[in-house]
Amino acid sequence: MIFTSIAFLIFLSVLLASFIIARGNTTRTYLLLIASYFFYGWWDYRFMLLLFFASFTAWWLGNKMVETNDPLKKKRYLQLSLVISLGTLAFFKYFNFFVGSFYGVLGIEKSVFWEITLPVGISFYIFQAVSYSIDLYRGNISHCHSLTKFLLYVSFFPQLVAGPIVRAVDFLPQLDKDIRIRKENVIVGAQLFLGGAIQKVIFADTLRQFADPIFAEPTLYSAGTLWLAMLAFAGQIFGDFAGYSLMAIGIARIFGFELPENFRMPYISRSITEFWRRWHKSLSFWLRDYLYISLGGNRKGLHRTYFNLIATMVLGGLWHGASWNFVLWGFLHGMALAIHKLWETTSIARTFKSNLPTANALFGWSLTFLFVCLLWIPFRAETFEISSQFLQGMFTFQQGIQWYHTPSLAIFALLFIWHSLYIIKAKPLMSYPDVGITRFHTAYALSITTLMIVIFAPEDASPFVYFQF
Amino acid sequence: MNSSKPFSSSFIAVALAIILALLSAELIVRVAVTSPSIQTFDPELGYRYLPNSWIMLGKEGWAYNKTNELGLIDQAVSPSKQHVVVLGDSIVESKQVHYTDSFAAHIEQTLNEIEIINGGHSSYNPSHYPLVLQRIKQSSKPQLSILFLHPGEMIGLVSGATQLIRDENGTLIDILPKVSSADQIKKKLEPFMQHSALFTHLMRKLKPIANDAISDYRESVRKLKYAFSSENTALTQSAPTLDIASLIVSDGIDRLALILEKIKRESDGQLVVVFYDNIQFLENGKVSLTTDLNEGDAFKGAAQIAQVPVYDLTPTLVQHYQTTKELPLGFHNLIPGDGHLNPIGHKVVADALVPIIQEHLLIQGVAQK
Repeated sequence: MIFTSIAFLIFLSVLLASFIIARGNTTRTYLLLIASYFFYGWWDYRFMLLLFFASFTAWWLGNKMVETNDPLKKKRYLQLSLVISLGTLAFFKYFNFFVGSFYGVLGIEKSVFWEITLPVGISFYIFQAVSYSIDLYRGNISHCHSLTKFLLYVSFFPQLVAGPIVRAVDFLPQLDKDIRIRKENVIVGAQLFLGGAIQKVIFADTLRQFADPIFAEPTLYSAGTLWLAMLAFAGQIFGDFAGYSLMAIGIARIFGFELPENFRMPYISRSITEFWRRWHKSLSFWLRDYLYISLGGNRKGLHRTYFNLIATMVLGGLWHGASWNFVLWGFLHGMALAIHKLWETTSIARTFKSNLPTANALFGWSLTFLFVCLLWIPFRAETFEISSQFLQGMFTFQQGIQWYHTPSLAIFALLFIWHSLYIIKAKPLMSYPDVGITRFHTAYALSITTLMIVIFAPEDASPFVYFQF
Repeated sequence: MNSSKPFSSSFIAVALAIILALLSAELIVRVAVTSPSIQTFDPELGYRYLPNSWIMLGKEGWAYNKTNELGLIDQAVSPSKQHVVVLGDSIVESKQVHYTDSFAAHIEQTLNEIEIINGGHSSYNPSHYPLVLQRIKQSSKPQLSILFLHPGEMIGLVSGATQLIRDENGTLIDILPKVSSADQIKKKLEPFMQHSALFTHLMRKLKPIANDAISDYRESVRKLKYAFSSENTALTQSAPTLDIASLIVSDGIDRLALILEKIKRESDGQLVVVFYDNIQFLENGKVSLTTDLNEGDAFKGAAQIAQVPVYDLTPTLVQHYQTTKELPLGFHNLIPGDGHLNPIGHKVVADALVPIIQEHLLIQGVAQK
């Protein structure tokens, strides 16, 4: 049930109606919980059991952690919780990959081993459960006594299958407030939802029409077309994921919940470090707080810091999917972060930054944008072979079919204007244009946005890219 | 009194905002997507284009064209030239291509004593072509008729989109277009579609969704009927699927031959058939012919029965791609290598048609550029 489907609109309408009729926080919490499990079960009813298992074990072991005063036992409960959560994730997500790679080395046919179906969104909700356990152990949050509330925290349907990854410390207190539909939240939520839908349905799905055939057969196309296709995928993945996040934030807002911002114009970043503070923020900060810091962060010397950065990003790459392409992608991002950190310590960097700030910013942006876009190639390509064919074609001025997908060029122009306006006005991504001034403006903005989505939506709508993670 | 005033002013503000949004959307659609529909209901053909009307289509290519006094996407018919009529569907109509880039315009430039009458109309099937020719003949006397076929034409002939006229012995004697229920709906919506590009665009977007729903429903009914029919005692057994390829061989060839004979009579024997087969341009970087339905062979078979000369343009299109790497099908707005003939394809087709026209009209000494 994707947000842009008719099924979801029916689901949302029924839920909203029931939510308005329901009285009291407890009833509404139960209603949201049932709706969230129904939403998840729509993909496959068996996944609901897994979701419950992952949530319940984290909550129950959290209980145990709080009940004991023995630090060693506390640690053991945390370790057990992490082993169960991450073990579940590893089994469902990486079993096929590691067994396949192992069998590949032995030269055994892939069909010999057991194929595990990947439950949609498992990486997102497991990470939420893990963050609760670690925060509880570290004393950053208090224990959630209500199983219902905890189950809803892990399964809340707007962000269940593709984030943003929400922390318990941010979400659980919201369940203790008065949960109700408020007019201002509905208006802002609808604006956010439609803003996200524009990014997904118009930007991402249009760019996908251009990128997909070229990533399938890069050897057929000219170098110019390959460069454009690389940019198209960069725009597609941004529109797809940032659009989904914004829609999720918008839906949550309609029900009165605040979810964290997930993207803040990442393509205007002037360094790779800044990029990761703007791209998939909920994951970046999760990796920083629960992995990088746990590995020692920058507290154990420069060399160890570089290692920690690379290790964190390799695991971050692997989080995206069980494939060597993602490992390579994560490793190269980790390397870039380490190199940037090293560069920042040099006197040349400091001189350059203080004496030529504009040139420094422009150089930093160009390098970061090019690097990020180039690395989207192994991220998107099905195999190493396709990645190398694509890159080879780009840099050897390959002759071939010249295809300049006109709608994609129009989207590039729109994205460029949007980013330029952002640089000028420095407004956060989530602030949908200020349309809430009058009823006329609000009604016009909502109507024209809906019409644009209906008019320009490609006929073959696709699921969200990040569902596979 | 006090409480109703804010409500009424809010209502007016919201209503005005929605109207303004609809007007803005109408403008955007007219600039970037399509013009209002120029189709009008026709009891014989289902629908046809309005004469002297502008049409803009931006889905594949981005072309502005005007219909002539006959409702054809063509210039006004000049009485001083020799006329060659080309019959077909959207490929012949030169859909998504500006008139000056169409094969008709290229041929007229090369053979300057010839005027091509573009008898193409989007979504027509072979059962429409004799009627189109009859109407064209009311205002001109073409010396040669060319029937331009391409993959997909035979499906229209065998899949129930036509009326089969039989004599008392059950022998097929004529094939006519079938005015569908969709045409009847279009007739009712005509006033809206002819005045609103937004409405036209939304209807076109809804059509495939509605068609899918209808065909799913029909397929379910067909399967249910089959399951409960006396011929089938096993209720769980699924109904056999329609085999279009077999139908083309068993019924399609004879039906097309009957239509060719009809057009041949209308053309006083001066008819040729040209076609291209189902070409897959981008399969593993190579060209391949998708021959599952064997439509090319069916075109040839029908032409042989009707004793009409037939020319296969497939090798010409393939050879052009292989030597130049320029794709004759598809547009920048959509997938290259798939869809309608693009300006390159039109030029290649024009170059292939020129000698065919010369051969059949026996034009001697006509200057070629």
